Amino acid sequence: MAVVGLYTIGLALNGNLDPTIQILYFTIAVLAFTFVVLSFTRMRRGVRIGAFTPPKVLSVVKCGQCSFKQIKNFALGDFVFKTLGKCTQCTTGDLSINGIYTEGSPKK
Amino acid sequence: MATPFDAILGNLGTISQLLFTVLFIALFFGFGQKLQMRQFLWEIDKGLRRLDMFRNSAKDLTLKTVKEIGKPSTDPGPQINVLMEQFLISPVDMDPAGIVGKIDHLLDVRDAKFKEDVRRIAPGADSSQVMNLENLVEASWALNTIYRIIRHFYLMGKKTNSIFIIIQLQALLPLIIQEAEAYLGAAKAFAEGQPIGDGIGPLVASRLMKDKEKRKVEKDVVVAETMMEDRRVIALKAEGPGGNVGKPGDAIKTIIEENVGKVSMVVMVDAAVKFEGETSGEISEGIGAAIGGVGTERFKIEQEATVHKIPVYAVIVKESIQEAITPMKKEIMEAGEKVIERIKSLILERSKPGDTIIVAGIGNTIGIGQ
Repeated sequence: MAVVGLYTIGLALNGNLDPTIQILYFTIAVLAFTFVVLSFTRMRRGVRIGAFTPPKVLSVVKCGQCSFKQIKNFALGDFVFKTLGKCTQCTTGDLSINGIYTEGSPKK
Repeated sequence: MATPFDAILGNLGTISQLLFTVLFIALFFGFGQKLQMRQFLWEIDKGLRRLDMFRNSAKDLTLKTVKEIGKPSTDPGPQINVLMEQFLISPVDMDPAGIVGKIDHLLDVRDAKFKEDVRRIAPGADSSQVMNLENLVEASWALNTIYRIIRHFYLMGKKTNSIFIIIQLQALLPLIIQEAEAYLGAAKAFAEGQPIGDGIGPLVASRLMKDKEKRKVEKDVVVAETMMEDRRVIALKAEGPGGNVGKPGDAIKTIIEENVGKVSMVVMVDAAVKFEGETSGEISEGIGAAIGGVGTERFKIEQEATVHKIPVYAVIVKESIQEAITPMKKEIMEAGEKVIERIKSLILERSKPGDTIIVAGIGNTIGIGQ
């Protein structure tokens, strides 16, 4: 279609032609280029939607005794209120997962 | 002497204009609808291919997860295919008396069979993982069903050349694809056991029952007692961290019957679908049983509350359908604390010190322990 558009625009720019024929060639060229532009934008949208990326999930680890708080990547087996052992900061409190969340919408 | 060829050449402009006009009229008036239908069919075909991709991705994820967690001795593919085509025949509703019991029974049978089938194809999975796998298979089933229905109407529209079927399908397709995309996100969350937006109710209940003694009541529901503003609060949620919604209707009924005359109010916490333009994680308060599903659990709660004249209040967290079934967003998780504050003010306003209050966290408890 791009070739057709270029060819007809070439024909239309030929000064010896009848104005009606020139308009006809211009119209065909515009239609051809519109089709090309629409095809490209459609293709890009299709590719963008097709690539689904899962969101990044984070786990919030908190100590029950002190103010220790850590945000880490979600690991398989994590769940809210899962105990993870003793706190490395105060050594007395138990560390547990206080929340699991994802930030923002998934990237597409 | 001028030949007919010269005459044509001399009037080439007029002839081409005439031809162009005829072509325009033929295309846009004669074949306009056909052309539009072709364009719609092309778009539906593209959408259908995307839905097929989603369902295949979910199926592959299901197979991979079943093999990894379940450690089956044989290929689980054929059994998963059977599960993906499963259906439920709803009971006859010509005589609606007793239909809730019939639906409840059917759902129990379906649930037990599904769980048993999943346990059979994944013998190495523990009970929590079986629940998650069950949810995963259900998400794959949903994607498979969406694909089959859309393909059915697409082929029917093509076969009958019915523009009305095609137009409806083309108009609804973006919403359907959006939902399918959410199901794919849900499948990923179920495969890894991540909390989903619908889990805000169980999250609130689990915060109330943290470090308290828990007991199991009814099917897959855990209960713990705590004190809040000098009131005895009985918090309940589905047993986690496996993907589970439990039967809160039966659990509330049991608790009310255990505490006849003592329960002064029931507060239900659930995720609710927001309208477009509303903010996710916003809290709203209302009256009535906040619980989704086919309605059997809501029926039981409403019936029990009516018999014992107990007011039922609802605190909901607004979110979209997509957010409800995909990993929980930060703003929804943070709404949990605000919900607890809202429950506190609600019980201060609507009950007296010493009263017993039931707080039910409704929703899927995947990834949320107690």
